[in-house]
Amino acid sequence: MANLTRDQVKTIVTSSLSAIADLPADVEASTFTMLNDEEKRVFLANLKDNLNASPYYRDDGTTSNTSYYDVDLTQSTFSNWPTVKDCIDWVTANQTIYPKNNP
Amino acid sequence: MMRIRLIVVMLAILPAPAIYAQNTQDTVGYTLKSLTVDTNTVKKPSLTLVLNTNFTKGEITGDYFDEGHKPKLHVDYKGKIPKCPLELVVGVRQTKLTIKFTNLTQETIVRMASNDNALAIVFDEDLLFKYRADPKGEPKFYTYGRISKDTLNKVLKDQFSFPADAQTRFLTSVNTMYYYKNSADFGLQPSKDSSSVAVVLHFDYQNLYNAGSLLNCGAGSGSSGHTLVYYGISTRLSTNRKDSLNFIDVYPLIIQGSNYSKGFIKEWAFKAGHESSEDFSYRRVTLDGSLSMIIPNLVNLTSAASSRLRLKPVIDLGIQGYDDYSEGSNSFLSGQAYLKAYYYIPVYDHYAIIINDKTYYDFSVKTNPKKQLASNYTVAIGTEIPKSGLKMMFKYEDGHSEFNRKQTQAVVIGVIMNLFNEKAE
Repeated sequence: MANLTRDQVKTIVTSSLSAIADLPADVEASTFTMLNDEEKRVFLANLKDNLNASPYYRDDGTTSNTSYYDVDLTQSTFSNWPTVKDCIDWVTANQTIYPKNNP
Repeated sequence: MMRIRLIVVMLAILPAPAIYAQNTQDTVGYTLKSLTVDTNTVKKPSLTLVLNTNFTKGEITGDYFDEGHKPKLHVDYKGKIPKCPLELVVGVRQTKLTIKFTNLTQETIVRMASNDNALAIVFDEDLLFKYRADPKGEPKFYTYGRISKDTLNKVLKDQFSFPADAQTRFLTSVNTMYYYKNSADFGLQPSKDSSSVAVVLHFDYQNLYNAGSLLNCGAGSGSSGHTLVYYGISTRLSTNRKDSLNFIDVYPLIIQGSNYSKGFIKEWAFKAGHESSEDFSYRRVTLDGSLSMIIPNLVNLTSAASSRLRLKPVIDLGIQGYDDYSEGSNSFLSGQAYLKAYYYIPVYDHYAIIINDKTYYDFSVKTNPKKQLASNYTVAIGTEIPKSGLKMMFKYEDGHSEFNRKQTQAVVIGVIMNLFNEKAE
């Protein structure tokens, strides 16, 4: 385990989107084009919050709260995401694991 | 007997490399190919130094650092310790290792950019990590890797840079997170008898006074309870300056806080400013407090097969006090309570209806002698122009002037654009 699976990331992305929009059945085909600045900001803040709050899945499948998942985001990150599918793939590939207490 | 002893000795020796590998974490030496810097401006601004190893296939596990085996490194400030020292944490990203910098300030950003080694990252020990070549393999297939501290420190010294242009992009990006409801639309408004056409511009802009203020020691942004200071302008201008729908609202001070957590999204704002008609014949100084929230969707105009997101309506509930000093009348103090709504409704696969409404009740007997609710609303029907970021619109406006209650309807045909959409870095 260690890294979140694509399905786990999809759950986080869609739950973050739910704060600002109702989602269609085929959410992965949706685009972000109609989001205004405020809606983008709310979505990104929720995405970061939800990713940080996920329990850390250790290699043996047990969970721990001494590490967390994170991802670097800016408003321009949206340009990497033509669709929600691209967002899920991008977060899956760029998730980073940090221990909670600094050295 | 001799043969049995030999077998026992061989059995004792054979597993030794594996046991040695698991216990000393000293199996494979790796090098560092290059460094890259990623930026984050959501919540707490941070920079991530990505250490690209020559290990390109597989997965480094976070378990090893999770178990307390944290890398030993520090920032060498060359004797000039900043007021707000950086915080560092080492993480893992697939086949890469990362160092995240938080507690960023203008000072440390500038020192990162300088070439005089005013700030250096130094590893005190070799960097050990645990990895497996097959990300889907069993946990027991993990082995250990090591990058020597000499290699790390040399590459960091030679290649770590955050030059002025990258600095500027980062600060711009931090700032861009705080553009707020910024948009413009413009179009043509035919007169009722079609004998003339007015050009109409609708423009909203709000931004922070100082993006650098987001880089205060320990500052987080966009998080619960965070409060920021903005300025803003909202205006409808027309070549027909007497159009009662026109206005110029300027707010030199906007204090705004937000709480995006726990499901229900809320923002609050306090605004001090000046509102007037386009020709300044009607004018007033205002103090305004409002609460903004996202509420559940009211309609669904998409088809079952549609893949469009249905954005939820945003409403602002507010109360305003004002000192009206319009031309030709004695100044007076009064106020109004209002509800604003913004609703983007996708229609089937390509169209949209965008509703903006302000419904208000003015407490002034002079402005509102009949003590009635009034509203200003626009309904725009639009469609996106592919690859342009623009939306074609057909907009109907109907409303009462907040200054003199004069009612006006207008039809505007034009385009809508979001300001400051960024391209990927």
